[in-house]
Amino acid sequence: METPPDPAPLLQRWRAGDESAGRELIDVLYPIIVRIVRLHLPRRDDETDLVQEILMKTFSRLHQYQGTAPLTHWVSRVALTTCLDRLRAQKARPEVRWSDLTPPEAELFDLTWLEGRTAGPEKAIAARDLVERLLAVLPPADRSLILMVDLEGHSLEEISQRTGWSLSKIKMRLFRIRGHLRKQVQNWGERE
Amino acid sequence: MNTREDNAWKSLLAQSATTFDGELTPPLGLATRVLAGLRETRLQEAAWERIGLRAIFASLLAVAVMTAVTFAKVGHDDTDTPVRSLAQLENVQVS
Repeated sequence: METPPDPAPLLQRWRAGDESAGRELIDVLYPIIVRIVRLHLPRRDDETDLVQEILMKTFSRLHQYQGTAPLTHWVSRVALTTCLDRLRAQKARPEVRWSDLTPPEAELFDLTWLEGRTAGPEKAIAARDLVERLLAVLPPADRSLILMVDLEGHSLEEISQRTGWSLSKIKMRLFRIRGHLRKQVQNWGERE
Repeated sequence: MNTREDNAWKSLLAQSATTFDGELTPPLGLATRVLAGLRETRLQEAAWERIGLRAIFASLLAVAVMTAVTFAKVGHDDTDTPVRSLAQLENVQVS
């Protein structure tokens, strides 16, 4: 995989008033931002708007960037807090019933949970849909947290630094989240 | 979750992982929109700054004019013969 260019010289040029450096900076930051948005935003309909909002916020706050951490970390934090602010307005669903699942989702659930097998890459979309169904019962911030831990593999310390949440709060939330997911899976297993 | 459920959950996440990957290049026009938005914001901020400065100067000017008028009026009133005692007060004509 190609290594992304170092954004520090681009930042210097941007600060000196070079607008073409802004375009190059957007090219560098875009993959980082879109991944965070896709990870934390349950619905994909307003993804582009949110990416644009984060880029605008990032550029208008660049004068606050001190350079103590890598620029990409700083931008990730701006992106994450913007996503969490957006998610705050959304609510968790009380329950997702077995009958709500589509046939591919139900088939994948049986394969994964009851038979303990893994489907091929052609089932990636159904797997994502099933993940979204399971996560729909969680409050949006909890959804973000479990994905940061289980999908991205971030340590609890990293998450604490990025979100400003205490370690004990994160552990307590994770315990509660796993309880919610277990209950949902059990309900589906019993076809309720 | 117990170990079996935990494994199933992680397996499901791994199967869906590719769908979380974003594109490596921004969609056409995004950079232009962002940079145009930033330019517009900067222009608006500059305009508000100008309006604010003008308002401050106008307020200061108004205060200066009011002060000048007040002092001029007081100075004009001072040209009247001052009343220095009650004895003089009796001589003041009231029309």
